[in-house]
Amino acid sequence: MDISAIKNSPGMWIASGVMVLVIVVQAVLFMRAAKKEADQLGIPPEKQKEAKRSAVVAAIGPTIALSIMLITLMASLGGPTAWMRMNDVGSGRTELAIASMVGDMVSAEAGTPEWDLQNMSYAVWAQGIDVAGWLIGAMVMIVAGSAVTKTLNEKFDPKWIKLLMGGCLVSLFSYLLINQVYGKAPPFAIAAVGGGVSMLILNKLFGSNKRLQELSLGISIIVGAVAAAVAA
Amino acid sequence: MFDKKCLRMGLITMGGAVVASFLPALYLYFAYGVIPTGADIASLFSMMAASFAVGWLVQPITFYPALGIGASCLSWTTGNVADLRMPAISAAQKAAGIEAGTPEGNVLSTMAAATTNIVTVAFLTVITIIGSGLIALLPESVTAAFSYIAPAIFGAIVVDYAMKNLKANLPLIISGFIVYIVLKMAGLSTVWITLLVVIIGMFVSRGVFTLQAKKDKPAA
Repeated sequence: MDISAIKNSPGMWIASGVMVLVIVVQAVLFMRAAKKEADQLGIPPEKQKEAKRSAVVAAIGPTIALSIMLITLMASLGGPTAWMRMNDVGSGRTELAIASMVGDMVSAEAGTPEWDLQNMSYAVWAQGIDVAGWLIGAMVMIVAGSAVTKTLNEKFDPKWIKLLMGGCLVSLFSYLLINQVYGKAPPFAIAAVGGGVSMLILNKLFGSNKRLQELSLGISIIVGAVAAAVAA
Repeated sequence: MFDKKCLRMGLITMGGAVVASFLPALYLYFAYGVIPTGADIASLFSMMAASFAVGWLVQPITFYPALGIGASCLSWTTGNVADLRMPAISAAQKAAGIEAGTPEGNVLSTMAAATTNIVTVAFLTVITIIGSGLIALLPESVTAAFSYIAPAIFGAIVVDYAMKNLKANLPLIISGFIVYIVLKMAGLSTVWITLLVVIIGMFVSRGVFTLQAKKDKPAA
């Protein structure tokens, strides 16, 4: 069976849609509770409306950047998976990282339909583990709440904690970059350089332009990929 | 009490999301009989944990004081916390003239986070529906470019990190490249290379931090 038909099958839409449903139900529940509490605290309804409107405006830019990522993910992961993961805590960067990480674990013969299906199964398992990790990590930390903040900052230098956390991400993306380029055809290196140079220019020239900054990753992706496709 | 109510609702809905996150994987098993072996699921778990476990635990606690309970639950279910939820929350609090950290601030941050969650779901769902059609219409020369998206993204992100904090991040990037090439030539599998790049990176950032601390305190 064709893998892209499986990726976009009605069953996948339903299986992926449950997450989106949970997100909507959660948002509605919290919105009702917050509205009730805001009324009790005496926050005027106009102020509540203004606050919500500002939240919408602030969210538009980053959401457009997300939809560029969504469209690119749809091409590689299929509609349902891209839709679900862009809505839940799994980020587009991570999903692409996962897709390239699991390929080496698949045992079926490369290039066969079995490989495609097995690869997809490994990818959605890894995504499930990643998203569950975020959720469970957050649940534990929200419960532990203020007590944990206090201990971490007392026992360790908060500056060091921040550096360690950020450092893990930097190491990971360095790995992913070199893994895309090392031993691969030249267009992959051209794409990496194109994306990097585009980000450099956008950051240097338009560092103070917030809207453009929000789009900088999306623009860099297009620049890098187009440069590679032209060169190939 | 509002906080207690948020915590209860948050734990229940996030628990639901944990279950939902495995449904596509289970669907592939029940519909097509394909599932990784137990050992491979364990490897996938350690690969994910090696790459992201520090983030899973440290990020929610980092943002907790700014978000409060309600917005934390909402934001960590949908992600994009730093670049989407946080700006929206501060915009909402500013618009209403209410300070963060107060009970009123927490109520508004919950309201703002819930609003952005609905906005992103609605927007992304529309794009998903239109987007599928768009991709079908694209000429082959354009879809060919999609295979170069991954290197372009990683190139852009690595440059972005380097520019954000050159002193801390450049040593990590260089060590990442070196460790990768050395271990690849040694014939190690990528799972172990990922793990070792991250672990060696931790020592590198500790070294950078210590050096920096020494520089900041001259002639002690």
